[in-house]
Amino acid sequence: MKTICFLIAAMILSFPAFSQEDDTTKIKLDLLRAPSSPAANLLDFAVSDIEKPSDVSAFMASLQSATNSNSLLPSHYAVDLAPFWLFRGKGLTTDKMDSRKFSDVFRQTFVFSSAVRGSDSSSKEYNPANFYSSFGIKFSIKRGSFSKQTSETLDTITLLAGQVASDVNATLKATLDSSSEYQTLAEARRNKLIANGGNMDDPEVVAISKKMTGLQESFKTKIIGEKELLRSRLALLKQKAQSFKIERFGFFIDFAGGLTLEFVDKLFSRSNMHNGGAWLTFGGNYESGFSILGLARYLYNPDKIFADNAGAIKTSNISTLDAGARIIYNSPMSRFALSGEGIYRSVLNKNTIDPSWRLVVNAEYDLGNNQRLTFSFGRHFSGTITKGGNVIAALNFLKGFGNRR
Amino acid sequence: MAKSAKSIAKTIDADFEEKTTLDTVYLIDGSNRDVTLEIIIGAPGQTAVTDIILQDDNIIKGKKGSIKEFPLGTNKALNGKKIFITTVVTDTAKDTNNTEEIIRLRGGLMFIEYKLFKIVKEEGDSAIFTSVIEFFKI
Repeated sequence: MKTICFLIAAMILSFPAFSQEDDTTKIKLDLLRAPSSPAANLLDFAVSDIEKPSDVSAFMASLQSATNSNSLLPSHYAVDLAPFWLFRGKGLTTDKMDSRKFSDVFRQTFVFSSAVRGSDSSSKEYNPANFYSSFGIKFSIKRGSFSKQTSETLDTITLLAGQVASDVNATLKATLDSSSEYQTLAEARRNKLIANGGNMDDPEVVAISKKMTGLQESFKTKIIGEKELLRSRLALLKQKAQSFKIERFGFFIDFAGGLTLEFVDKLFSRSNMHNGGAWLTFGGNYESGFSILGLARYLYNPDKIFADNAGAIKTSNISTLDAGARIIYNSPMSRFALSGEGIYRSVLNKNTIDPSWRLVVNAEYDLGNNQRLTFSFGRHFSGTITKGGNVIAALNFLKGFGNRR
Repeated sequence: MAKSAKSIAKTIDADFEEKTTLDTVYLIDGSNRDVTLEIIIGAPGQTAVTDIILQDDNIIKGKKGSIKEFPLGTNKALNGKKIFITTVVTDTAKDTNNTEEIIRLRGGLMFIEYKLFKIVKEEGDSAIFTSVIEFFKI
Protein backbone atom coordinates (compact mmCIF):
# COMPACT_ATOMS: atom_id res chain seq x y z
CA MET A 1 0.00 0.00 0.00
CA LYS A 2 2.84 2.32 0.93
CA THR A 3 4.52 1.61 -2.41
CA ILE A 4 1.32 2.26 -4.38
CA CYS A 5 0.79 5.62 -2.63
CA PHE A 6 4.37 6.58 -3.35
CA LEU A 7 3.99 5.53 -6.99
CA ILE A 8 0.84 7.62 -7.46
CA ALA A 9 2.45 10.64 -5.78
CA ALA A 10 5.49 10.35 -8.00
CA MET A 11 3.32 10.11 -11.14
CA ILE A 12 1.33 13.19 -10.15
CA LEU A 13 4.52 15.06 -9.49
CA SER A 14 5.98 14.12 -12.85
CA PHE A 15 3.16 15.52 -15.06
CA PRO A 16 3.41 19.23 -14.22
CA ALA A 17 7.12 18.98 -14.24
CA PHE A 18 7.26 18.47 -18.02
CA SER A 19 7.54 22.07 -19.07
CA GLN A 20 9.09 20.69 -22.21
CA GLU A 21 9.77 17.09 -23.02
CA ASP A 22 13.32 16.40 -24.03
CA ASP A 23 12.87 15.24 -27.61
CA THR A 24 16.54 15.46 -28.41
CA THR A 25 17.37 11.88 -27.63
CA LYS A 26 19.12 11.68 -30.99
CA ILE A 27 21.50 14.43 -29.91
CA LYS A 28 23.89 12.47 -27.75
CA LEU A 29 27.21 13.55 -26.41
CA ASP A 30 28.69 10.23 -27.53
CA LEU A 31 28.22 11.33 -31.16
CA LEU A 32 31.19 13.63 -30.62
CA ARG A 33 33.49 10.80 -29.57
CA ALA A 34 36.57 10.18 -31.71
CA PRO A 35 36.07 7.25 -34.10
CA SER A 36 38.19 4.15 -33.56
CA SER A 37 39.67 4.68 -37.03
CA PRO A 38 39.67 8.33 -38.27
CA ALA A 39 40.53 7.56 -41.91
CA ALA A 40 37.95 4.80 -42.27
CA ASN A 41 35.32 6.95 -40.55
CA LEU A 42 35.87 9.81 -42.99
CA LEU A 43 35.24 7.43 -45.90
CA ASP A 44 32.17 5.81 -44.25
CA PHE A 45 33.62 2.36 -43.71
CA ALA A 46 31.84 0.02 -41.31
CA VAL A 47 33.95 -0.89 -38.26
CA SER A 48 33.83 -4.57 -39.28
CA ASP A 49 35.44 -3.71 -42.65
CA ILE A 50 38.57 -2.24 -41.07
CA GLU A 51 41.65 -4.48 -41.08
CA LYS A 52 43.64 -4.36 -37.84
CA PRO A 53 46.75 -6.51 -38.34
CA SER A 54 48.63 -7.31 -35.14
CA ASP A 55 51.92 -8.31 -36.78
CA VAL A 56 53.81 -7.77 -40.03
CA SER A 57 52.86 -11.14 -41.53
CA ALA A 58 49.15 -10.46 -40.90
CA PHE A 59 49.51 -7.00 -42.51
CA MET A 60 51.23 -8.45 -45.58
CA ALA A 61 48.52 -11.10 -45.92
CA SER A 62 45.80 -8.44 -45.62
CA LEU A 63 47.51 -6.22 -48.23
CA GLN A 64 48.03 -9.17 -50.55
CA SER A 65 44.36 -10.05 -50.36
CA ALA A 66 43.23 -6.42 -50.95
CA THR A 67 45.50 -5.96 -53.98
CA ASN A 68 44.72 -9.34 -55.55
CA SER A 69 48.28 -10.59 -54.97
CA ASN A 70 49.88 -7.18 -55.61
CA SER A 71 48.43 -6.95 -59.12
CA LEU A 72 46.08 -3.95 -58.73
CA LEU A 73 45.38 -0.95 -56.51
CA PRO A 74 42.87 -1.71 -53.75
CA SER A 75 39.47 -0.15 -54.44
CA HIS A 76 37.78 -0.67 -51.09
CA TYR A 77 40.23 -1.09 -48.25
CA ALA A 78 40.70 0.33 -44.75
CA VAL A 79 43.49 -0.51 -42.36
CA ASP A 80 44.63 0.55 -38.87
CA LEU A 81 48.32 0.15 -38.13
CA ALA A 82 49.77 0.44 -34.64
CA PRO A 83 53.54 0.47 -35.44
CA PHE A 84 54.65 -0.37 -31.92
CA TRP A 85 52.43 -3.47 -31.74
CA LEU A 86 52.92 -4.37 -35.41
CA PHE A 87 56.64 -4.79 -34.84
CA ARG A 88 55.92 -6.79 -31.68
CA GLY A 89 56.80 -3.98 -29.26
CA LYS A 90 59.89 -5.74 -27.94
CA GLY A 91 60.55 -4.99 -24.31
CA LEU A 92 57.01 -3.87 -23.52
CA THR A 93 56.28 -5.75 -20.32
CA THR A 94 53.43 -4.90 -17.93
CA ASP A 95 55.62 -2.61 -15.80
CA LYS A 96 56.16 -0.35 -18.87
CA MET A 97 52.44 -0.32 -19.67
CA ASP A 98 51.83 1.80 -16.58
CA SER A 99 54.38 4.40 -17.67
CA ARG A 100 53.06 7.97 -17.76
CA LYS A 101 56.01 9.36 -19.72
CA PHE A 102 54.71 11.02 -22.91
CA SER A 103 57.22 9.18 -25.13
CA ASP A 104 56.05 5.79 -23.78
CA VAL A 105 52.35 6.69 -23.92
CA PHE A 106 52.66 8.08 -27.46
CA ARG A 107 54.51 5.14 -28.99
CA GLN A 108 52.31 2.56 -27.27
CA THR A 109 49.04 4.19 -28.38
CA PHE A 110 49.89 5.66 -31.81
CA VAL A 111 47.70 4.31 -34.61
CA PHE A 112 48.00 5.25 -38.28
CA SER A 113 44.85 4.63 -40.27
CA SER A 114 44.36 4.68 -44.00
CA ALA A 115 41.46 3.92 -46.32
CA VAL A 116 40.84 3.97 -50.05
CA ARG A 117 37.60 3.93 -51.97
CA GLY A 118 37.45 3.53 -55.74
CA SER A 119 34.43 3.30 -58.02
CA ASP A 120 31.31 2.64 -55.97
CA SER A 121 28.12 3.07 -57.95
CA SER A 122 25.94 2.26 -54.92
CA SER A 123 27.01 5.40 -53.02
CA LYS A 124 25.63 8.80 -53.92
CA GLU A 125 28.28 10.65 -52.02
CA TYR A 126 31.22 9.26 -53.93
CA ASN A 127 31.69 9.91 -57.63
CA PRO A 128 32.49 6.59 -59.34
CA ALA A 129 34.79 8.42 -61.77
CA ASN A 130 37.00 9.60 -58.91
CA PHE A 131 39.28 7.91 -56.40
CA TYR A 132 39.24 8.69 -52.67
CA SER A 133 42.07 8.18 -50.24
CA SER A 134 42.08 9.07 -46.56
CA PHE A 135 44.77 9.18 -43.86
CA GLY A 136 44.43 9.56 -40.15
CA ILE A 137 46.28 9.32 -36.87
CA LYS A 138 45.21 8.61 -33.33
CA PHE A 139 47.22 8.70 -30.11
CA SER A 140 47.03 9.40 -26.40
CA ILE A 141 48.77 12.43 -24.94
CA LYS A 142 48.09 11.32 -21.39
CA ARG A 143 46.51 8.19 -19.97
CA GLY A 144 45.27 6.95 -16.63
CA SER A 145 47.35 4.80 -14.33
CA PHE A 146 46.65 1.24 -13.20
CA SER A 147 43.82 0.80 -10.71
CA LYS A 148 44.62 -0.24 -7.14
CA GLN A 149 43.56 -3.83 -7.84
CA THR A 150 45.62 -4.04 -11.04
CA SER A 151 48.70 -2.67 -9.23
CA GLU A 152 48.25 -5.03 -6.27
CA THR A 153 47.87 -8.11 -8.48
CA LEU A 154 50.89 -7.07 -10.52
CA ASP A 155 52.95 -6.53 -7.36
CA THR A 156 52.05 -10.03 -6.14
CA ILE A 157 52.94 -11.56 -9.54
CA THR A 158 56.27 -9.70 -9.52
CA LEU A 159 57.05 -10.74 -5.96
CA LEU A 160 56.30 -14.42 -6.61
CA ALA A 161 58.17 -14.45 -9.95
CA GLY A 162 61.14 -12.75 -8.22
CA GLN A 163 61.20 -15.39 -5.48
CA VAL A 164 61.09 -18.19 -8.09
CA ALA A 165 63.84 -16.57 -10.21
CA SER A 166 66.10 -16.03 -7.20
CA ASP A 167 65.56 -19.55 -5.84
CA VAL A 168 66.12 -21.28 -9.22
CA ASN A 169 69.19 -19.16 -10.04
CA ALA A 170 70.94 -19.74 -6.70
CA THR A 171 70.14 -23.47 -6.59
CA LEU A 172 71.12 -24.00 -10.23
CA LYS A 173 74.44 -22.21 -9.70
CA ALA A 174 75.22 -24.32 -6.64
CA THR A 175 74.26 -27.52 -8.49
CA LEU A 176 76.36 -26.71 -11.58
CA ASP A 177 79.34 -25.60 -9.49
CA SER A 178 79.31 -28.92 -7.62
CA SER A 179 78.64 -31.14 -10.65
CA SER A 180 81.89 -32.83 -11.71
CA GLU A 181 80.30 -33.89 -15.02
CA TYR A 182 79.41 -30.29 -15.83
CA GLN A 183 82.81 -28.95 -14.74
CA THR A 184 84.62 -31.58 -16.87
CA LEU A 185 82.61 -30.55 -19.92
CA ALA A 186 83.36 -26.86 -19.22
CA GLU A 187 87.08 -27.63 -19.00
CA ALA A 188 86.93 -29.61 -22.28
CA ARG A 189 85.19 -26.68 -24.00
CA ARG A 190 87.83 -24.21 -22.82
CA ASN A 191 90.66 -26.49 -24.02
CA LYS A 192 89.01 -26.95 -27.39
CA LEU A 193 88.60 -23.18 -27.80
CA ILE A 194 92.27 -22.62 -27.00
CA ALA A 195 93.21 -25.28 -29.54
CA ASN A 196 91.00 -23.93 -32.36
CA GLY A 197 91.77 -20.24 -31.76
CA GLY A 198 88.33 -19.35 -30.37
CA ASN A 199 86.14 -20.88 -33.08
CA MET A 200 82.71 -21.15 -31.46
CA ASP A 201 81.32 -22.83 -34.61
CA ASP A 202 83.68 -25.78 -34.23
CA PRO A 203 81.41 -28.89 -34.24
CA GLU A 204 83.13 -30.22 -31.11
CA VAL A 205 82.57 -26.96 -29.23
CA VAL A 206 78.94 -26.92 -30.42
CA ALA A 207 78.50 -30.55 -29.27
CA ILE A 208 79.98 -29.84 -25.81
CA SER A 209 77.80 -26.73 -25.38
CA LYS A 210 74.77 -28.83 -26.36
CA LYS A 211 75.63 -31.42 -23.72
CA MET A 212 76.11 -28.71 -21.07
CA THR A 213 72.78 -27.13 -22.04
CA GLY A 214 71.08 -30.54 -21.71
CA LEU A 215 72.67 -31.08 -18.31
CA GLN A 216 71.59 -27.63 -17.12
CA GLU A 217 68.06 -28.30 -18.41
CA SER A 218 67.83 -31.58 -16.48
CA PHE A 219 69.11 -29.92 -13.28
CA LYS A 220 66.56 -27.12 -13.69
CA THR A 221 63.69 -29.59 -14.19
CA LYS A 222 64.82 -31.52 -11.10
CA ILE A 223 65.05 -28.35 -8.97
CA ILE A 224 61.52 -27.25 -9.96
CA GLY A 225 60.11 -30.76 -9.51
CA GLU A 226 61.66 -31.42 -6.11
CA LYS A 227 61.16 -28.10 -4.35
CA GLU A 228 57.67 -27.98 -2.84
CA LEU A 229 57.91 -24.25 -2.06
CA LEU A 230 58.88 -23.49 -5.65
CA ARG A 231 55.94 -25.48 -7.03
CA SER A 232 53.44 -23.84 -4.68
CA ARG A 233 54.77 -20.39 -5.63
CA LEU A 234 54.41 -21.24 -9.32
CA ALA A 235 50.83 -22.45 -8.74
CA LEU A 236 49.93 -19.24 -6.93
CA LEU A 237 51.70 -17.22 -9.63
CA LYS A 238 49.53 -18.88 -12.28
CA GLN A 239 46.37 -18.18 -10.31
CA LYS A 240 47.27 -14.50 -9.91
CA ALA A 241 48.32 -14.16 -13.57
CA GLN A 242 45.04 -15.65 -14.76
CA SER A 243 43.05 -13.10 -12.77
CA PHE A 244 45.20 -10.18 -13.93
CA LYS A 245 43.45 -7.56 -16.03
CA ILE A 246 44.43 -4.01 -16.83
CA GLU A 247 42.09 -1.31 -15.50
CA ARG A 248 43.04 2.35 -15.65
CA PHE A 249 41.88 5.33 -13.63
CA GLY A 250 42.90 8.98 -13.76
CA PHE A 251 43.21 11.79 -16.25
CA PHE A 252 43.54 11.11 -19.97
CA ILE A 253 43.82 13.10 -23.22
CA ASP A 254 43.35 11.43 -26.62
CA PHE A 255 43.71 13.02 -30.04
CA ALA A 256 42.52 11.81 -33.44
CA GLY A 257 42.57 13.48 -36.82
CA GLY A 258 42.41 12.74 -40.52
CA LEU A 259 41.61 13.97 -44.00
CA THR A 260 40.37 12.59 -47.30
CA LEU A 261 41.74 13.46 -50.71
CA GLU A 262 39.60 13.17 -53.81
CA PHE A 263 41.46 12.41 -57.03
CA VAL A 264 39.28 13.74 -59.83
CA ASP A 265 39.10 11.36 -62.82
CA LYS A 266 41.59 9.23 -60.84
CA LEU A 267 44.39 11.64 -61.77
CA PHE A 268 47.06 12.29 -59.15
CA SER A 269 47.60 15.84 -60.41
CA ARG A 270 43.90 16.73 -59.94
CA SER A 271 43.32 16.22 -56.25
CA ASN A 272 41.37 18.23 -53.71
CA MET A 273 40.37 17.87 -50.10
CA HIS A 274 37.08 15.98 -49.80
CA ASN A 275 36.60 16.08 -46.03
CA GLY A 276 38.53 16.11 -42.78
CA GLY A 277 38.22 16.09 -39.03
CA ALA A 278 39.99 16.40 -35.69
CA TRP A 279 38.80 15.04 -32.35
CA LEU A 280 40.05 15.78 -28.86
CA THR A 281 38.82 13.66 -25.97
CA PHE A 282 39.88 14.33 -22.40
CA GLY A 283 38.72 13.60 -18.91
CA GLY A 284 39.25 11.30 -16.02
CA ASN A 285 37.59 8.52 -14.12
CA TYR A 286 38.41 7.80 -10.51
CA GLU A 287 37.86 4.86 -8.20
CA SER A 288 35.85 7.13 -5.89
CA GLY A 289 33.05 7.08 -8.50
CA PHE A 290 33.70 10.54 -9.95
CA SER A 291 34.27 10.85 -13.70
CA ILE A 292 34.53 13.69 -16.16
CA LEU A 293 34.54 13.57 -19.95
CA GLY A 294 35.23 16.38 -22.40
CA LEU A 295 34.88 16.14 -26.18
CA ALA A 296 35.70 18.59 -28.97
CA ARG A 297 35.23 17.89 -32.65
CA TYR A 298 36.11 19.89 -35.75
CA LEU A 299 34.77 18.63 -39.08
CA TYR A 300 35.26 19.91 -42.61
CA ASN A 301 32.46 18.88 -45.00
CA PRO A 302 30.71 16.51 -42.59
CA ASP A 303 28.09 14.00 -43.78
CA LYS A 304 25.61 15.59 -41.43
CA ILE A 305 25.82 18.89 -39.60
CA PHE A 306 25.27 18.36 -35.87
CA ALA A 307 23.82 21.85 -35.43
CA ASP A 308 21.46 21.44 -38.37
CA ASN A 309 18.90 18.73 -37.60
CA ALA A 310 16.57 19.90 -40.33
CA GLY A 311 19.24 19.76 -43.05
CA ALA A 312 18.71 23.42 -43.89
CA ILE A 313 22.16 24.01 -45.33
CA LYS A 314 24.23 22.06 -47.81
CA THR A 315 27.35 20.42 -46.48
CA SER A 316 29.87 21.54 -49.11
CA ASN A 317 32.69 23.81 -47.90
CA ILE A 318 31.32 23.74 -44.37
CA SER A 319 33.35 23.69 -41.18
CA THR A 320 31.71 22.77 -37.90
CA LEU A 321 32.92 22.86 -34.32
CA ASP A 322 31.08 20.87 -31.67
CA ALA A 323 32.02 20.32 -28.08
CA GLY A 324 30.59 18.65 -25.02
CA ALA A 325 31.32 17.73 -21.45
CA ARG A 326 29.86 15.30 -18.94
CA ILE A 327 30.45 15.04 -15.21
CA ILE A 328 29.21 12.01 -13.29
CA TYR A 329 29.35 11.26 -9.59
CA ASN A 330 28.21 7.78 -8.70
CA SER A 331 29.67 6.67 -5.41
CA PRO A 332 29.96 2.89 -5.19
CA MET A 333 28.83 3.06 -1.52
CA SER A 334 25.88 5.38 -2.13
CA ARG A 335 22.48 5.08 -3.84
CA PHE A 336 22.69 8.64 -5.11
CA ALA A 337 24.09 9.56 -8.54
CA LEU A 338 24.53 13.05 -9.93
CA SER A 339 25.48 13.94 -13.49
CA GLY A 340 25.66 17.01 -15.68
CA GLU A 341 26.02 17.25 -19.43
CA GLY A 342 26.61 20.18 -21.74
CA ILE A 343 26.77 20.29 -25.54
CA TYR A 344 27.83 23.19 -27.76
CA ARG A 345 27.33 23.06 -31.52
CA SER A 346 28.18 25.51 -34.26
CA VAL A 347 28.78 26.03 -37.96
CA LEU A 348 31.92 28.11 -38.38
CA ASN A 349 31.69 29.57 -41.87
CA LYS A 350 27.92 30.08 -42.43
CA ASN A 351 25.62 32.50 -40.69
CA THR A 352 22.42 30.51 -41.39
CA ILE A 353 22.62 28.68 -38.05
CA ASP A 354 23.74 30.38 -34.86
CA PRO A 355 25.82 28.52 -32.30
CA SER A 356 23.67 26.94 -29.61
CA TRP A 357 24.11 25.01 -26.41
CA ARG A 358 22.30 22.57 -24.17
CA LEU A 359 22.85 21.89 -20.49
CA VAL A 360 21.14 19.19 -18.42
CA VAL A 361 21.63 18.12 -14.82
CA ASN A 362 20.41 14.69 -13.78
CA ALA A 363 19.99 13.36 -10.24
CA GLU A 364 19.10 9.77 -9.54
CA TYR A 365 18.30 7.92 -6.35
CA ASP A 366 18.15 4.15 -6.25
CA LEU A 367 15.27 3.21 -3.93
CA GLY A 368 16.13 -0.50 -4.18
CA ASN A 369 13.80 -3.29 -5.33
CA ASN A 370 14.16 -2.12 -8.97
CA GLN A 371 12.85 1.36 -8.14
CA ARG A 372 14.56 4.58 -9.13
CA LEU A 373 13.67 8.21 -8.76
CA THR A 374 15.28 10.49 -11.33
CA PHE A 375 15.19 14.25 -11.76
CA SER A 376 16.40 16.23 -14.80
CA PHE A 377 16.68 19.96 -15.16
CA GLY A 378 18.37 22.10 -17.76
CA ARG A 379 18.43 24.36 -20.76
CA HIS A 380 17.72 23.16 -24.27
CA PHE A 381 19.40 24.35 -27.50
CA SER A 382 18.10 27.81 -28.24
CA GLY A 383 17.63 29.66 -31.45
CA THR A 384 17.60 26.52 -33.53
CA ILE A 385 15.24 26.07 -36.43
CA THR A 386 13.27 23.27 -34.80
CA LYS A 387 13.01 24.44 -31.20
CA GLY A 388 11.30 27.33 -29.50
CA GLY A 389 11.60 27.17 -25.73
CA ASN A 390 14.60 26.09 -23.81
CA VAL A 391 13.68 24.58 -20.46
CA ILE A 392 13.90 20.87 -19.75
CA ALA A 393 12.49 19.59 -16.49
CA ALA A 394 11.33 16.09 -15.69
CA LEU A 395 10.78 14.07 -12.57
CA ASN A 396 10.48 10.35 -13.29
CA PHE A 397 9.79 7.37 -11.13
CA LEU A 398 10.93 4.08 -12.62
CA LYS A 399 9.74 0.77 -11.28
CA GLY A 400 11.03 -2.48 -12.71
CA PHE A 401 9.29 -5.83 -12.74
CA GLY A 402 11.02 -9.05 -11.81
CA ASN A 403 13.25 -10.15 -8.99
CA ARG A 404 13.95 -7.71 -6.21
CA ARG A 405 17.59 -6.64 -6.24
CA MET B 1 43.62 -19.82 -52.00
CA ALA B 2 45.49 -17.18 -50.02
CA LYS B 3 46.35 -18.12 -46.43
CA SER B 4 44.61 -16.16 -43.71
CA ALA B 5 46.67 -13.75 -41.63
CA LYS B 6 46.16 -15.92 -38.52
CA SER B 7 47.37 -19.13 -40.20
CA ILE B 8 50.49 -17.36 -41.52
CA ALA B 9 51.24 -16.00 -38.03
CA LYS B 10 50.83 -19.52 -36.57
CA THR B 11 53.21 -21.00 -39.18
CA ILE B 12 55.82 -18.37 -38.31
CA ASP B 13 55.44 -19.11 -34.58
CA ALA B 14 55.86 -22.83 -35.23
CA ASP B 15 59.12 -22.12 -37.07
CA PHE B 16 60.69 -20.89 -33.83
CA GLU B 17 62.24 -23.71 -31.88
CA GLU B 18 61.40 -23.60 -28.20
CA LYS B 19 64.50 -23.03 -26.10
CA THR B 20 64.54 -22.13 -22.41
CA THR B 21 68.16 -22.95 -21.53
CA LEU B 22 71.46 -21.51 -22.76
CA ASP B 23 75.01 -22.58 -21.98
CA THR B 24 77.75 -20.86 -23.93
CA VAL B 25 81.05 -18.96 -23.92
CA TYR B 26 81.46 -15.24 -24.65
CA LEU B 27 84.92 -14.56 -26.02
CA ILE B 28 86.67 -11.49 -24.66
CA ASP B 29 90.10 -9.85 -24.88
CA GLY B 30 92.41 -8.53 -22.17
CA SER B 31 91.42 -4.87 -22.62
CA ASN B 32 89.99 -2.43 -20.10
CA ARG B 33 86.91 -1.93 -22.30
CA ASP B 34 83.59 -2.63 -20.58
CA VAL B 35 81.48 -5.63 -21.49
CA THR B 36 77.76 -4.75 -21.36
CA LEU B 37 74.60 -6.79 -20.97
CA GLU B 38 71.08 -6.00 -22.19
CA ILE B 39 67.97 -8.15 -21.75
CA ILE B 40 64.79 -7.69 -23.77
CA ILE B 41 61.56 -9.46 -22.82
CA GLY B 42 58.61 -10.40 -25.05
CA ALA B 43 55.90 -10.76 -26.06
CA PRO B 44 54.22 -7.40 -25.41
CA GLY B 45 52.08 -7.53 -22.27
CA GLN B 46 53.98 -10.29 -20.44
CA THR B 47 55.37 -9.88 -16.93
CA ALA B 48 59.00 -10.75 -16.22
CA VAL B 49 61.45 -10.75 -13.33
CA THR B 50 65.20 -11.42 -13.62
CA ASP B 51 67.88 -12.55 -11.18
CA ILE B 52 71.57 -12.34 -12.17
CA ILE B 53 74.62 -13.76 -10.40
CA LEU B 54 78.05 -12.75 -11.69
CA GLN B 55 80.51 -15.32 -10.36
CA ASP B 56 79.43 -15.12 -6.69
CA ASP B 57 77.77 -11.70 -6.60
CA ASN B 58 74.00 -11.42 -6.90
CA ILE B 59 74.24 -8.24 -9.02
CA ILE B 60 70.57 -8.08 -10.09
CA LYS B 61 67.73 -9.24 -7.85
CA GLY B 62 64.02 -9.05 -8.68
CA LYS B 63 64.45 -6.72 -11.66
CA LYS B 64 61.12 -6.16 -13.43
CA GLY B 65 60.75 -6.28 -17.23
CA SER B 66 63.47 -5.65 -19.77
CA ILE B 67 66.92 -4.53 -18.60
CA LYS B 68 68.64 -1.63 -20.31
CA GLU B 69 72.27 -2.07 -21.38
CA PHE B 70 74.60 -1.87 -18.36
CA PRO B 71 78.32 -2.65 -17.78
CA LEU B 72 79.31 -5.96 -16.20
CA GLY B 73 83.01 -5.10 -15.90
CA THR B 74 86.05 -4.81 -18.11
CA ASN B 75 87.21 -7.58 -20.46
CA LYS B 76 90.23 -8.03 -18.24
CA ALA B 77 88.23 -8.32 -15.02
CA LEU B 78 85.65 -10.72 -16.45
CA ASN B 79 88.09 -13.33 -17.78
CA GLY B 80 87.23 -16.76 -16.33
CA LYS B 81 84.03 -15.59 -14.67
CA LYS B 82 80.54 -16.95 -15.28
CA ILE B 83 77.23 -15.16 -15.32
CA PHE B 84 74.02 -16.96 -14.27
CA ILE B 85 70.80 -15.38 -15.56
CA THR B 86 67.36 -16.66 -14.57
CA THR B 87 64.28 -14.90 -15.90
CA VAL B 88 60.71 -15.88 -15.07
CA VAL B 89 58.31 -14.67 -17.76
CA THR B 90 54.66 -14.97 -16.71
CA ASP B 91 51.93 -14.98 -19.33
CA THR B 92 49.76 -11.96 -18.51
CA ALA B 93 49.12 -10.97 -22.14
CA LYS B 94 45.60 -11.86 -23.22
CA ASP B 95 46.34 -12.13 -26.94
CA THR B 96 49.37 -14.43 -26.96
CA ASN B 97 51.01 -17.26 -25.02
CA ASN B 98 54.45 -16.48 -26.46
CA THR B 99 57.26 -15.74 -24.03
CA GLU B 100 60.68 -14.61 -25.15
CA GLU B 101 64.02 -13.44 -23.80
CA ILE B 102 66.78 -11.80 -25.85
CA ILE B 103 70.21 -11.49 -24.23
CA ARG B 104 72.68 -9.10 -25.84
CA LEU B 105 76.36 -8.91 -24.97
CA ARG B 106 78.61 -6.14 -26.28
CA GLY B 107 82.20 -5.05 -25.71
CA GLY B 108 83.97 -8.42 -26.08
CA LEU B 109 85.41 -9.79 -29.32
CA MET B 110 82.05 -9.32 -31.00
CA PHE B 111 78.43 -8.37 -30.40
CA ILE B 112 76.30 -11.44 -29.71
CA GLU B 113 72.54 -11.91 -29.30
CA TYR B 114 71.00 -15.05 -27.83
CA LYS B 115 67.28 -15.80 -28.15
CA LEU B 116 65.24 -17.94 -25.81
CA PHE B 117 61.61 -18.68 -26.61
CA LYS B 118 58.66 -20.68 -25.32
CA ILE B 119 54.91 -20.87 -25.97
CA VAL B 120 53.34 -21.60 -22.59
CA LYS B 121 50.49 -24.10 -22.53
CA GLU B 122 47.91 -22.18 -20.55
CA GLU B 123 47.01 -18.60 -19.75
CA GLY B 124 48.94 -17.53 -16.65
CA ASP B 125 51.71 -20.14 -16.98
CA SER B 126 55.33 -19.09 -16.51
CA ALA B 127 58.41 -19.85 -18.58
CA ILE B 128 61.68 -20.10 -16.64
CA PHE B 129 64.64 -19.13 -18.82
CA THR B 130 68.09 -19.98 -17.44
CA SER B 131 71.41 -19.01 -19.03
CA VAL B 132 75.01 -19.65 -18.06
CA ILE B 133 77.61 -17.67 -19.99
CA GLU B 134 81.31 -18.04 -19.39
CA PHE B 135 83.64 -15.12 -20.21
CA PHE B 136 86.78 -16.54 -21.75
CA LYS B 137 89.96 -15.01 -23.16
CA ILE B 138 91.90 -17.14 -25.65
